[in-house]
Amino acid sequence: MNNTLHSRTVTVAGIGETLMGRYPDRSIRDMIQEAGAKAIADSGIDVNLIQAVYVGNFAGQQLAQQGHIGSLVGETLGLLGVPTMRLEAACVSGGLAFLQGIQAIRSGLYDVVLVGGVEKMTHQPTDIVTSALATAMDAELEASSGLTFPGSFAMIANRYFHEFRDVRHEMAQVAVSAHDNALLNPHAQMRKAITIDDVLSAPRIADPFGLFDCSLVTDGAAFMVLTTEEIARQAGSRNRVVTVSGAGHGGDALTLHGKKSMTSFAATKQAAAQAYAQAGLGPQDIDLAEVHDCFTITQIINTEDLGFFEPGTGADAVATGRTSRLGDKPINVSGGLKAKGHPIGATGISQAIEIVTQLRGDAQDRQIPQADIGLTHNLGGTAGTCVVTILEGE
Amino acid sequence: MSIPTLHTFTIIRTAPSLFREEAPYCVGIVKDGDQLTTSRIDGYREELRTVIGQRLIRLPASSPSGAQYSF
Repeated sequence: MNNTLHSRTVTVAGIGETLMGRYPDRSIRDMIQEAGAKAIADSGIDVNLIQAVYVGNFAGQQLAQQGHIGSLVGETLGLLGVPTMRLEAACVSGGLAFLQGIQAIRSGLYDVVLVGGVEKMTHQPTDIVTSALATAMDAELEASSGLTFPGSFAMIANRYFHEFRDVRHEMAQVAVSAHDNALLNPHAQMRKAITIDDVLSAPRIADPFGLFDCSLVTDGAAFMVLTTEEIARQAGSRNRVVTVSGAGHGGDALTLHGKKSMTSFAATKQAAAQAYAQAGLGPQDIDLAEVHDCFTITQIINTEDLGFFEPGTGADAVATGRTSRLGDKPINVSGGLKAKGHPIGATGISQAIEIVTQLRGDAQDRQIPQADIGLTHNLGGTAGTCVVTILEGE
Repeated sequence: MSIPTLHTFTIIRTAPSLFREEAPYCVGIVKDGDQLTTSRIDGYREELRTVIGQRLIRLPASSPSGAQYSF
């Protein structure tokens, strides 16, 4: 272990994830084994060099009767004696694991770490999953009223309509685009084309949201090996070197009513400002982004908060095709949470895996032509916590 | 005393297990004086037109649904 505190360049040396989907017969252990082993093998780094594990998981106890997931990862992957840590902040649990790993390498605390996330959800009925998700809001001040997460973001959507304009049609376009992108992603859960009419006529969940405005319930795991640039090069991988040039962390009130704005998320702005400053870059420099589209309105707001578009104009960018796979600011080329899937604790890592895959030029049919700088945006709860990272290909 | 108004709202149609029998129901964020509060809004009916800025009635005590306000 290197205890010298200084800033070093962090490299994503290895990536691995399961297919995202409904796997009622797969255990958490099984998914960790597959995704973790893939990431370690992809890195070319000796497993014995891994010094710590950071893993995101949201609802292991409630949905899978499994806690202490850090230690489970260690044992499953043969990392006995390696310190592990589980991080939980709702949907940004994976993003926090990524951030924790970045900080450990940057600071010199460790030279090689494994970061990841895992969630097993689909074996539970919808109302049980809905109840588990609701624990990420304020139990006393919000959930006790019968509010759900779709309900919370539906209130955001209605407020957005009030402050700007009704963007239901563009929200439907967000869903259609996500499904189109997922058709090209073999890792995606929902590889099925849909139309705007399908979205607008879907069963109502929480007005104005229908079923297709909501992200998926997903089983899945995703892992990455992080290390220094020097060690990554020594490992001799033929992959393009991908470095983390920015990593920001933002926070805001847990409750929706406690936020200064319901149509712009302060946690995103804070995290993005940090990440951009560290990277010496701005929104105009980002070639593609994976943003937290837990609901269709959220993608629109996120692209405004990240500075890609002016407030109130994110929907215009969707309508004119700017955020499509072949647009000038491709968003969620993977299919996003909406169609690739949302295995909550793993989502932040899975987003980064898509960016690394694109920067390496390995995204095959969904590869975007210009992929040198990518951004991930992972949001927790009703935008109470946010992690933004910027990754660059050498 | 100020009149509470609806700052934003939703109609919950897929509810958590504890509230499943009560759906559909309205949850809103209410502006009451300088305060914003999340609350169930009693008296929701499908034929009711619900709009942001709408005036609400403050209940003297929480209703059985926990609501502090009603239409």
